This record gives sequence, structure tokens and C-alpha cells, in this order.
Amino acid sequence: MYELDLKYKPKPHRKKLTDKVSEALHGYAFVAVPVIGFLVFTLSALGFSFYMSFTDYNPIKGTYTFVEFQNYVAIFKEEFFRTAFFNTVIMLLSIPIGTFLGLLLAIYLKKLAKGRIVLMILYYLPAVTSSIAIMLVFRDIFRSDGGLINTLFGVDLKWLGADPWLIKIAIIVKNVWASVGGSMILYFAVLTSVPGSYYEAGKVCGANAWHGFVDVTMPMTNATTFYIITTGVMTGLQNYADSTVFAQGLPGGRTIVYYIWTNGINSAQYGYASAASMILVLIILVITVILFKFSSVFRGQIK
Amino acid sequence: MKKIVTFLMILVLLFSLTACTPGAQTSQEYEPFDPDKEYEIDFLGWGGVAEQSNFQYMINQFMKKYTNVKVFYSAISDTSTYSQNLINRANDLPDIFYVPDWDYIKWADSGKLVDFTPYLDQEEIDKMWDMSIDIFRYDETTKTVGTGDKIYGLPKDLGPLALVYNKDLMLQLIEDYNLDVDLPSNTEPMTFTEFKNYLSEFKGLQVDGSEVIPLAYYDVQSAVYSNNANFYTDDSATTSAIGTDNFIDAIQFVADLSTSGLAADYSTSGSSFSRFASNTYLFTWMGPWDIATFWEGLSFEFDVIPAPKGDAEGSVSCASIGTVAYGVSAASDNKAAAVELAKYLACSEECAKYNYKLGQAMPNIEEMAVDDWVNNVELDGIYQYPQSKQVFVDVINEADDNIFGKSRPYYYTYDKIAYDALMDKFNDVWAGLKTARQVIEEYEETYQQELTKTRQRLG
Repeated sequence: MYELDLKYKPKPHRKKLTDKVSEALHGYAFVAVPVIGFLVFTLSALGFSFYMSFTDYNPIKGTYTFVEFQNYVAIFKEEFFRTAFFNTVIMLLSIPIGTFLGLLLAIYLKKLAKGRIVLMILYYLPAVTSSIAIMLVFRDIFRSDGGLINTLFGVDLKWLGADPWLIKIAIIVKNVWASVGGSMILYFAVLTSVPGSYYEAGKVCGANAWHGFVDVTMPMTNATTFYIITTGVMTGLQNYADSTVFAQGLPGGRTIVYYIWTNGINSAQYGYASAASMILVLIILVITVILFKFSSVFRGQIK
Repeated sequence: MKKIVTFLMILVLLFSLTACTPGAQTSQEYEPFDPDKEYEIDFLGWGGVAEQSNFQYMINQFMKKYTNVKVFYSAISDTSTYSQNLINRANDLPDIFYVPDWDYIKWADSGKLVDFTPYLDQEEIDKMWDMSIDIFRYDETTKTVGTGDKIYGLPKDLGPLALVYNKDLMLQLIEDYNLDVDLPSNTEPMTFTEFKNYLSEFKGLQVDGSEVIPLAYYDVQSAVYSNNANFYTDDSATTSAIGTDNFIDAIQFVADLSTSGLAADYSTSGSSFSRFASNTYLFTWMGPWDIATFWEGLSFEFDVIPAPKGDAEGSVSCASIGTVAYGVSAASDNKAAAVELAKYLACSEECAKYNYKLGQAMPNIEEMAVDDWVNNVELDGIYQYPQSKQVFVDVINEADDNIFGKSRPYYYTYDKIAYDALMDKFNDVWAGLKTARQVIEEYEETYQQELTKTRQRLG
């Protein structure tokens, strides 16, 4: 008689993954890296900040108590915060202006027969130049004594002084100059893909240059406009360097992030800073939602 | 979905708990330095390349002297980033680090600094400037700096401000325009009015086709202190004193200098050194820590005079004084070695001499400052400038009835918020849009509230 070899165990039949499941697993594996990164470095930090915003956490003493909405109430009472919010919103004006000028430049360059590349490089240079260097140069341009603007126009304006409007105008001018090249490149890329036949068809129907711009160019570039405006607003709301480097702390040039830094983080009031940060997150969220809500405006059609 | 939410909640909770966990235990127990024990200590400072290299040199000298101690030195170039870095590391402080005057009370009150009192003998204290030790005293009961038995810092340097002028340019202008003006006195402070008149002599004058602006800016703190006024009624910094006529007049004096063209537009004060170096300004301000920069950056002779005194009754010249301390972490495992290093850097004669020869600080040792530094011992050529270093000594010494010094206003408060907000309000005064009286009448109540809030943060 043969004895049964109990040591032998047949290998379990491995169920082969279907292509669909296998593909999904691969997909999840790739997605996992940024998702984990987002959870650990963004969402948990956001959650921690939200929690801290209801405390009076003092990092030096390491003590904290739950203060409910005190930080939020204090921030809204603070004149400095209201001014910083106002300043930040006004400074956002550079985004639509820079975007529009970028579009005009792209149209101009597309029509240009010679020297297009040279001009394009020149216009794009600010986008690849250090923003700090730009700020320092523009500080000299706007200097009240012997600055380029005052000398050129024969005026005696204290751009970098106490006047809250002049400093904002200076910042907007600088930011338009710095952003116009980036917008131009994006628009130029889109415009090169617009078939010339659209304009020719318009001409046959009696459309002039203005009609071509409004009825062909704008609808064809609307997605780009939406992208530039949305990302620009998100970045603009987090502006900090203009307050410190360009305005050097002048009240008229202070932004929300500057406020968070000076009155919160730099003063060891992390609870307060967290509350101000949560307000900024909320502002960015609301504005982004509004922009997406009205994104249909940017989905124009060629008439 | 529920699982994801639960996971996120746990993650946030974990993060929150770990972030708020108290760090290493602090202890004020005296630990004597053991020459047979091996120590390794971290030292965090700030400063540019030159300062870092100077400190590395002094630390190397220390390690040669104490071969059982190994020091790991690092520095952050920007002071604001430095302060923030230190706050973030509050639960894991370096063994020894800088504590600037604007942060001193925060750290002194935190219980995280070593009290140097048991480590200092009377002889060591006696040879230092009284001010250099007293300034780092802290009274935990009244929560007031500058008084009390505990000493939570040893002086890195004392920084009295003085007015500095371009001597070559001044002599050239006097000759070119045939002015009936003498060089300013380095012992007898001018009054505000005399100083204004003095500056007026140079208004609108040109050198090499460019207009000279008599003054870069006026130090607001020195103006207030020198007009027999203050930001608070006493050093506890709890009650506002900005409503006095003397305070208002001091602010208006500073503003009038700008609006009358005697001083540059205040917004250009950030670049005052470069414009002083290029013969644009005749006067600006300097502290002893600036001397090396002036040696390197200027191609002319410069000298200092004391801060002018106000026209108000009882006024004396009183410059603002900035200070930085060496602090030692009470949680350090190598406290004794860290204290030894702090004492070496702050109290030793070799470091004091090295510092002054490099133009980095005036000596903390009184005798050396008075006998050697002021008389340019071992200094020659441009390294003797400013010749009137006695001015700095007078501010610290307070031996002269005429010249005094006082710590900067934010040394007395938990943070700079109240001071910075007040200075913001003065922007309208500097620009000539409002008078000092108008702004102070509008703002004094809020300033008092800010002071109260600041005090509450101290606990």
C-alpha cells in the first residue's frame, strides 16, 4: 500500500487578476504618492491649523488653552487685518490688466513678420527673472528722490511713502510688467492654433478687426484666460514678498500673508496666526468656487 | 468614505498631539563644569559671512582652551528668520544661542533659559559694565526686565546709537561754501533747535553736482528719550505715556526734519548706509556693531556725536540702546559647557579685544573699553574711526550728566505689536499729512489697549 504524503500540499490556485482590476491597482499605486503627500503635508497641516485656530497656543511656553472663537473675533476687529485684506484685493488688479496686455502682445507678435522671436524673448524675460531682483529695481524706479518715474514725468510723488494708494499703484505696475510675458507666451501658443480661415470667413461676412477680436480671438482663448486668472488670483491672495521686499512693511503695501507672519507667527501667537490662515483659506476657496461657477463665461463660442 | 474620514481624523489628532507635546525637561539645578568630561554643544547665532567667520575663530580658541568641549556652530543670516527659527525650536533649543532684546522677555519668562547667577562670581560681574549685566536681569514676580536677582543672559554686545557724520564731506562743504560752521562737538550734545539750525547750514548744498541731504533720518526712540519722554510710564510697560507734550513734540521734531527737507524722505531710510557712503547724506546713525561695515564700505573719515537733547525742560541726550544676549537652554544636557562658552564669549578679555579689533562690538569689559578701545590701542589707520568712540562709552557709562542711554521700547514688552502699530500710525506724521498731536489723540486709547494685550500675553 502506498502511504499518502501529507507533507505535499497543492499550491492554491491563484486567481488571476482581470485586466480591469490590474489596471486599477496600477492606477491607485501611481496616485497614492501624491495623495499620501497631500494627506500628510497639506490636509493634516490644514486640520492642525484649524484646531490651533481655536487655541491660544504659545510655542515658547508650550502652553495652550481652548479659546473658542476669540482669535477669529479679534482678527475681524483688527484694523490692520481689514487693511491687509483690502490691499490684497486691490493688488489683484494686476492680474486682469497683465492678462489683457499679454493677449494684445500675443496678437501683435502673431501678426509681426520680422523680429518676433527677439521681441518674444524680451517680453518674456521678466518671467524668468528673479522676482526679488525685479522688486529692487522697481524700488529704484519709484524712488521719490531721483527715481526714474518722477524724473521722467517731472512729478514729486512719494510712491514708496505713507500714501496708501501710491504704493499699491506702484506694486500693480510692477506686477503687470512682471506677469505680462507669461500671459503672452500662453496666448501666443493658443493663437498659433487658431485656423486663419475663421478670420477669413469673418471678413467675407463683413467683419472688421474688432469683430475678429471679439468673436474669434476671445472665444478661442477663453480657456487660457480662465487658467491665467484663476491661478493668478490664487497666487495673488498669498502674496507676501511685495509687502516685505518692495513695500518694506509700509502699511499701504501689506497683504494678508504679511499680517499672518508679523502679527501671528513672528509674535509667537500661533493660534492667532492659524485663525488668520483659516480665514485666508476660506477666502481663496470662495473666490475659486466663484471663478469656477462663472467659468461658463469663459466658454464662449465663435459667432 | 467613512473609513477615509476616520483615517483623516486620526491623522490630524496624532499630528496635533505630537505637535503640542512638551519637549525636554528644563532644570535650574547648578551643574559645575567638569574638565574631565567630554561635552558636545550646539551654538546657534546669526550674522553675515564676516561675523560667522569671526565667531568660528573665537569658538576655535575656546575649544583650544577647553579641549574636552566640542562646539558645533551654525548661524542664520537674517535676524527675523532667526527669531522665528528659535520659536519653532522652543521644545528643542540649541545649547547656547543669541537672544535679542526684542525677544528677551519672552525667553526670560519662559523658564527655558539658564539663570547665570550661580555661575558668575562677583569679580567677573565687577569688571563688566553695570548695564551689560543689569539689562539681562528679570524679576519673575513683577515680570519686569532690568531688575531682579535672576540673570538669564550674558551680553554679546551693547549697542548704543550715535549720530555719525561724513567728516571729509563736511570739511569740503565748509570750505567750498565758506560756511561759518565748526565741526560738531563730540562731548556737548546739541539741543534739537541747535541741531536743526546746524543742519540748515548744509541744506541745498552740492558736491560734484549732486545735492547733499543733511540727514538720512532721525532715530525716533532717541528723539523721544532725549526729550524727557517715554513710551510707557514705567519699565513694566503697562501704561501709555505717549500723550505727554514732550512725547508729541519729539515726534513732531522728527517729522519736521523730513518735511522741511533737512532729512531725507523717511521711506528711504532703509538704504541710508549706501547713500551715506555715496556722499548723499551728511549725517546718519550708527552703533558699535556697524563699525566694521563702515570701515569696509566708506572711503572717507567719519566720526560720531551724541544724540541731540530735546528743548523740553529736564531733557538730556539719551540714545536708544540695542542689545543681544547669549542664552543657555535650561534643558541642555551640557549646560555647564554651554555656560562656560557664554562666559568666555561675553566676559573674557581675549574675546572682548578680538571683537573690538574686528569692529564688531565695544568691549563688555569696562576698563578695556575706556582705556584701550577709546584710545585706539592696537588700532591704526582707518581702523581708528570713529575717533570719538568715547561717545558710545558715555552712553553706557552714564557717568556724564549730559549723556545717557536707554533700551529700545520693545525690550520691555512681550512682543513688538504695540510699538509697530504705533509707528504705523506715525507714517502720516512723517509724510506731513497729520500732526503728531492729531495722530496721538486719535490713537492713544488703542495704543493703551495694545499695551494691555501685550502684557496679558506675558501672563
